[in-house]
Amino acid sequence: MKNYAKYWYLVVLLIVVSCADSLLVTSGLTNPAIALVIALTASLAGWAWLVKTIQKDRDQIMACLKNPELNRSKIQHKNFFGSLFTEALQKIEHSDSELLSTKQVQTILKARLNSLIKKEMLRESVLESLDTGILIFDAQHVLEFSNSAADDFLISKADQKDTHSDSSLSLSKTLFNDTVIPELSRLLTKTIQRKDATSCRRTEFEFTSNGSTNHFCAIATNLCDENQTALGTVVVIENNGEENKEKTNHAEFVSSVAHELKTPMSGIKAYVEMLIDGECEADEAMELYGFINEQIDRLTRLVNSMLNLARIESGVVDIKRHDYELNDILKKAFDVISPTAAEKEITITTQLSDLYLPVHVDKDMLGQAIINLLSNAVKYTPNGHEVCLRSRMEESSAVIEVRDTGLGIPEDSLPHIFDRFYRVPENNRSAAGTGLGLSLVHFIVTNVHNGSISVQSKVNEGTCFIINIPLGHKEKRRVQQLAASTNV
Amino acid sequence: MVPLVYVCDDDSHIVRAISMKLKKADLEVECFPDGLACWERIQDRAPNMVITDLQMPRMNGLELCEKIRDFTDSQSIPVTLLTGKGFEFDHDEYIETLKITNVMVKPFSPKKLLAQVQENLNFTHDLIG
Repeated sequence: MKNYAKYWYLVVLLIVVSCADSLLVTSGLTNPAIALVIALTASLAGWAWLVKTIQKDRDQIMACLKNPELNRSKIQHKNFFGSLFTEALQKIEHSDSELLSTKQVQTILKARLNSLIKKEMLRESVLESLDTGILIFDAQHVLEFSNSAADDFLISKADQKDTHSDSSLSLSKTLFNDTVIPELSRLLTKTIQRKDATSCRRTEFEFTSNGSTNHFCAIATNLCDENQTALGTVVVIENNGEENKEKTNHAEFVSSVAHELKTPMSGIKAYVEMLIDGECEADEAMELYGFINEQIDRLTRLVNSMLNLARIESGVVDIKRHDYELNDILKKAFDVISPTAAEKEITITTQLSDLYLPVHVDKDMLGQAIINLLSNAVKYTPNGHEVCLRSRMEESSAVIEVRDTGLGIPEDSLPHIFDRFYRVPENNRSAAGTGLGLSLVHFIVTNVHNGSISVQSKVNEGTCFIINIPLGHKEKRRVQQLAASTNV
Repeated sequence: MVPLVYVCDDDSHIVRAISMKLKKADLEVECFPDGLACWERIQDRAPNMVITDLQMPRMNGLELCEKIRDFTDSQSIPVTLLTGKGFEFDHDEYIETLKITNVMVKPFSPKKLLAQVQENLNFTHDLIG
C-alpha cells in the first residue's frame, strides 16, 4: 500500500459522503440540516482520523530516529513522511560515507605527512652528522638548509649588511655576500651566473677558524627538476687538508728518495769521470775504486732499506703474529749485535726481566726492530762505552729499553728521528745510514704491534729508546675457547 | 796569486772529488762539512769563490749564500750551488734573489764544474782588473 493511498481513500470517502448527502437532500429523503450534520460529522471524523494517523506516523519516525535498529522499510511505504524520511536518511547516509572517505583521506595524508617528516628528519640528521659542510639554497638564493659542519662558513646576522641592490643578479650576489664567506659567495654567484656552461663548479680555499687554518674544497651544484626548472643550489664543503698533507708528504718522500739516491751517484759519477780522464795516479785510482765501491754499497743499503720499509708498510710482507716469550726474542737480537759491539769494544749487556713476558708478536719483525735499535746504539756510541738491553713488566705492557752512553740526540732533532731519511746532522758522520731504520722500527712497533715507542736523550750522555708492547698471549686463549666449545 | 775556492758539502765523497779536481787545476781548495763552518771561515778569510751544497746540517746552502751576500768582503764572489733537487727547486728565483752564479744538479760532472769555476774566476779577475 502506498503511503498516500489512505489519504486518497479519505478524500474519496468524503466526496462519496458529500455526494450521498446531496442526493439525500435532492431526493427529499432528508432535510438539508441533517445532511449538513452528516457531512460535518463525516468531515470531522475524517479530519480526526487524519490528524491521528499523521501523529502516529510522526511517532513512528521519532521512534525510528531514536532507535536506528528498527525496520525502516515499512515506514517508506506506509508512513506519511516515509519517502521524505527515507530520502533524508539516504542523504544523511551518503554524507556519512563522504565524511568517512574524507576522514580516510585525512588519515592517509597525515600518515604520509608523518612519513615525509620522518624522512626529512632522517635526511637532516644524516646531513647533520656529516663532517662535510652542506649548504642548500632555494631558487631565490635564500639559504634553505645548512648543517653544523658548515656553520663556520656562514656570516652571522650581526655581520650582515643592509645594502641590497634592485637588480636580481646583484640581489643574489648580495644575498650570498650576506649569508656566506666571500669564497663561497663568489663560487655560488659564478655557478648560478654561468649555469649554462656547467651545472657544477669547484673552488679551493684556506680558511681560519678558531685560530687554526685549514684547506677546504667547495663544490657548488645547480639543482633542477625533470623539466629543468631551477630548484636551487647545493654547496658541499670538504676539509681536504689531510689529502693535501698526504700529497705534500708524498712529494717530500719522493724528493728525499731522489736526494738520497743522487748523493752517492754524484760521488760515483765524479770519481768515474776522473778515472776515465786519466787524471789520477795509480794509487789515487785504487783509492777512487774503493770509494766507488763504498758508494755502491751505500746505494744498495739504501735501496734494500727502502724496499724493506715499503714491503712492510704496504702489507706485502705477511705479518705472522704468534705467542712468544719476549725475552727469547730480545736474546736473539742481542746475539746478532754482540759481535759488532765486541769489534767496537763496546760493552753490551742485558738486564732482562725474571718474569715471563707473554707477547703476541711477529717475532721476525719485532726482532728486526730491536736489532735496528741495538745496531744504532752501537753505531753512535764511541769505543769503550756501553749499550744495555732491558725488559720489564709494567701494568698491561711489556717494556723494552735500549740504552746507550753514546753521542746522544740534540733536542731539536728528537721530534724528527722517526721521519723517513732523517739523520741527526751532528751524528751522521759517525756512521753510515739511510735514515730509514728508525722509521721502520716505529712502523713495526706502532702499526704492526699496536705498541708505542719513545726516546729520551742527552747530547754526549746517551740515548734510551723505550718500547711498550701489549702483554698477553692470544693463541692459548683461543685454544682454550675451542676446547671449551668441543667439551660442551 | 792562486785563487782560493771553498767547497762545502756534508757528503765527504763529493767534497773529496771536487777538491781533487780543483787542486789538479792548480786552485787552492778548502773543504767544509756544513754552511756554518764555511761561513765562520769566510769571515776570517774571504775566498775567490764558493761551491756549496743546498741541503746541509746547521746552515744550508741558501742561508750561507745570504750571509755571503750580506758580508762586505764576500758579497761579490761567485757562488755555485749544488743540489740533488730537480723540478721542485726554483733555481731562477734564488739565482735572482741571492745572486747565485750557477746551479748544478747532482749528479754533476766535475769537468763541467771546473770549467764553470775557471770561467767565474776569470770573469771576476777581469772585473777586478
